[in-house]
Amino acid sequence: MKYVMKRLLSALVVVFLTSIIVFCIVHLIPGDPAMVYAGAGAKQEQVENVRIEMGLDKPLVVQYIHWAGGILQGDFGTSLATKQPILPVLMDKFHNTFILSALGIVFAVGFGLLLGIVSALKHNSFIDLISMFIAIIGISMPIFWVGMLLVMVFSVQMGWFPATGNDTWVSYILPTITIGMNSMAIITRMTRSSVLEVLNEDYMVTAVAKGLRGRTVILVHALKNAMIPIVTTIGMQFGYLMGGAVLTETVFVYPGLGRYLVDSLTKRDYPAIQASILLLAVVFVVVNFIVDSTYYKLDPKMKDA
Amino acid sequence: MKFLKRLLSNKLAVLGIFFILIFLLASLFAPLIATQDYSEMDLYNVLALPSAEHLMGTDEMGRDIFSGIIYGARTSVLIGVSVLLFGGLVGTAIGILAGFFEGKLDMVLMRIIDTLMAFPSILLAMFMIAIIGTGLKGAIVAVSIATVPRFARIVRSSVLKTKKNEYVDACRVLGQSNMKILFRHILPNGMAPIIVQATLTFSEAILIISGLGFLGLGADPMSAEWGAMLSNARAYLMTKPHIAIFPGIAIAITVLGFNLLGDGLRDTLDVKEY
Amino acid sequence: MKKSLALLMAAVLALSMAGCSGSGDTGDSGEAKTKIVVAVTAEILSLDPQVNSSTPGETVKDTIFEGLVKADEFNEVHPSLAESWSVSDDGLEWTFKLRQGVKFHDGEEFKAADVKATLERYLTNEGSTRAYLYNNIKEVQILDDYTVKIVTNTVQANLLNVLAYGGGGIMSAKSLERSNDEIAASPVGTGPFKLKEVVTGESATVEKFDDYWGEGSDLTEIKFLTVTEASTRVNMLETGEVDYITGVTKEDIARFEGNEKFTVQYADSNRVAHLGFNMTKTPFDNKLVRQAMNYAVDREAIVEGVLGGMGTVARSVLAETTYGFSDAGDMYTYDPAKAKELLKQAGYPDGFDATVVTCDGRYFKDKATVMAVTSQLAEVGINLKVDVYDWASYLDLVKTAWDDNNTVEMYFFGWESGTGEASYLFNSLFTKKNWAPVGWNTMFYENDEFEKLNDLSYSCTDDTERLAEYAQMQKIVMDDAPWMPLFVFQQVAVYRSDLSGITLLPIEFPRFTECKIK
Repeated sequence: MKYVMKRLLSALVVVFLTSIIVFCIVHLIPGDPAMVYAGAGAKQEQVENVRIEMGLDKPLVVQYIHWAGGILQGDFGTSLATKQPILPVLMDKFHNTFILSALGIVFAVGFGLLLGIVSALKHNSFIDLISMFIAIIGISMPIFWVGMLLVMVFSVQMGWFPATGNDTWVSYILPTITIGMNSMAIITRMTRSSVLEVLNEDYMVTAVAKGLRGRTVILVHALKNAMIPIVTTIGMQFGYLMGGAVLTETVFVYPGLGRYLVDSLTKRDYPAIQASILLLAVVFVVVNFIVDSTYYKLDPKMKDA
Repeated sequence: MKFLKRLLSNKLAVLGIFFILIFLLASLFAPLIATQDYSEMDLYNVLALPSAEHLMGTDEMGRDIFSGIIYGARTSVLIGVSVLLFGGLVGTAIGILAGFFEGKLDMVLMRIIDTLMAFPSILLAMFMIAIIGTGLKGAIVAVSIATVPRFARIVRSSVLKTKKNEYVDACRVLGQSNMKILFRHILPNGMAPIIVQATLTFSEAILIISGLGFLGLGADPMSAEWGAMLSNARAYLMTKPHIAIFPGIAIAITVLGFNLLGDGLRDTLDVKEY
Repeated sequence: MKKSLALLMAAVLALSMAGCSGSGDTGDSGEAKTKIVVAVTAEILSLDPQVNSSTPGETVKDTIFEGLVKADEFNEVHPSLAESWSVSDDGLEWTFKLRQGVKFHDGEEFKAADVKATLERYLTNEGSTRAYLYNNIKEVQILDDYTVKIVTNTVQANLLNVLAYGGGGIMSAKSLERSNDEIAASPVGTGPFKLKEVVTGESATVEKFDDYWGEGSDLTEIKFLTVTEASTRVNMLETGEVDYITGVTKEDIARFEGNEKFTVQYADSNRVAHLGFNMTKTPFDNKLVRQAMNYAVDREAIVEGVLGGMGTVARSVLAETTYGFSDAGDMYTYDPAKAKELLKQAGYPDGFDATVVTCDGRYFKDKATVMAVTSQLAEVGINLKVDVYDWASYLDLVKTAWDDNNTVEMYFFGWESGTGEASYLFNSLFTKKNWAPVGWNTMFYENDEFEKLNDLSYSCTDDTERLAEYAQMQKIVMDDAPWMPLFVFQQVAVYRSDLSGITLLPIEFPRFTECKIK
């Protein structure tokens, strides 16, 4: 419990520090949002009026306190672009990216574990070779190219799946494969080497000697012990997945948080940028926290740490 | 030499080295191999299919794709090596400080590194570019910052491990200074995982750089860069897909090469950090 | 382990499907014919006519508001809420006879008081970003319920064009008694459509105003939906989810051409893509250099290769559709030999190095055009480095004063005359008083003869004389070459074939007020 509490506290500290860093950095970004929103033809006074209207003339510290205070009350600020509250839009985009990432993780974990275990069991066989080949290609191909290739073959040529958007369930298939491909490859490799390592341990030989049925032995014992590095990897992958979301969402024109962030960066929509990055940071911290706590539960040795 | 023999017996590693050599040769001898200056635009002949004059066809602005691939290799090497140097040096420095001195410094540094590592590299890089600006300088700094955490961790654990060796204590007893111990004994012996990390960092850097290029945040638009070439190809996926194939293959082969080499090195040097 | 994984996958899939059901309803096909959906390229923003809005915003406002006069696709002015007008001898007083029997969307009758309330709001409304177009109006006098006199401070020859512009939309005096935000949220005009509902950031819907004074349109409802991705717009048109789209790429147009179900419409805008020179920096202070660069560029090739034919080679700093454009042949031809000759004369036989800045994606093929120009200039020895900026930083960068802080040497822009006529551009872009950062003369150009003619034409109410002055000014500017004009942006719209009567205005949005259904 104490361990969990400690991690929770440090997680909160990280979130707080991140909020400050995010706020400062966003204001370091060159460009004047007041000018953008006043319009290209506006005269100097119009620009100043807009600046005052947006509250951009107040000192940075005041702006930060205003913003942070709002966040704590659930007010994520107003988008400079749409003049509307950011929270509902942010949540909607986040919902979309979360679904895509979740589907991606499921795909990656499902196929990754499968291929990894099979490869480990059939070590050095043809299947092993094929899986390893797929895996190494999977981590070498740029994610956006994978997406483009899938679109080329399955959307344009075969017409099986739509190339953009997220209206029907079919339109989720290509983006899921794209976003998950990289992670699947990594999980496959990690699973394979982890299981292989465990299969060679002494206690495994003992278990087999004890006479338990081969398959059960492998699945139960090997996986349980191989799980630690695998879980850590999976946890890390979720973070990378959300990063890969930016590229996947661009290729498939998917209305997620990644694209929202890129758009906000382009438009210098400070509040939207801050809110998006803060949200992402919180998500990562939460994920890491969960991973650490699970790690802690899985590995008795950690209890003493 | 035994090490080289072992490495070369690993067929995949050899394949990797082969790919890397192609990549390095292309970048080194670009002006000799490329058929045109990449900035030459044949505006009346855009999106052409491969022909004798244009081995891989022309892109949406009439530039020769083959030349673009060759010069793109040069851009990637430039950025990749810079990233390796910059990120590697900074990361190594942090790793040494943390690993060698331990204690509070270690804790603080590692907290920062962990926070950075929690962020996906491409988002970090994007963010840095938004501040520094696009262009070569921005790309290098941004991608370097994304690679620093990984290096820091590897160096730190390497230092920690090697520090525990008995001969280090012996050196201390003999009165050798910290710096000498560090550079004479710890680092050389801890090089293996760092080298493996360097090859893998290079491949990751290429992926991030091309990702940034794809998002339109990369280097100079007049210079050849594979990710940017793919980004331009996107609009023509339905009508002229051929221009999207070659840059993607270039990225994949180069990254594959470094990954295979990295794997091979890891197996040969028997590094168990992963 | 594998079974629970499968269950987990199924559960997640089921949950996600529940959360994301398919897109909108299809609706009765009979009804859908008079209700159309227009996909616009950006968010709609303010619906207050006295505030700058995005192009989609202007499109919506055009259906709701009318001015005293209106401009057609050649920027010629016609009567609208005013039936006739006359101008006093000293040019300072314009008397308008107003149309009778016109109703506002809130039921009020259109009278002179409304014109006064609307136009005089510019004098006091701090939130307006268009006041600079109307602040020459001293006062609006009500002579009787249907006659109004506009008094200007100085003679303003283009007053009619300015009144025809979107910013001249007349609102009811009663509706103006509300706050600025309320006005922007539920504006009241006299147009053939009235605002039905707005979903901020997503759409705005207008419905037919039954008491409209004119012929109006066959449409009963128009929903303007914000769809920022070109490929999505195209898909939605194909599936019938929307009926009208703009901002279509050449590749996508191919999908619709020859298809009877759709009509493809092209029109020139009055926006001229160009490179501007910062004339305070060497070697751009040298006229020969600027002219040389104008000769070194093959504009036809750019329109053909970069734009895919979707554009027209520029013939001056003004587009042909701009009122005041002169056909006198002031444009530079593609002549690299001449360019090299001029460079030699200017003292740069081996060319020189410079930097050009550009935005990316703000204008059609902006970055690509700059890259093509760079490639062509390299042939005469001028080596440019291309720096790309996002729109926000870009504006900041280009609109700086001419002192040492300004690092810009050449830049890319696409200016259009919002009011559709020449004086707007000549005045805002080429006069000394509008040198950046006060105005948009970011070339820091000045020419005394030009200034003289500008003052003359601004206050000249005789059209023929004015046009002659504009022609002269165009000649001067083209010869001095503070710009390298490149091409005129072309607009493309694709829509359901049974719609007609939609005009693509040169000020870059479609006009739906006369849309008919075949």
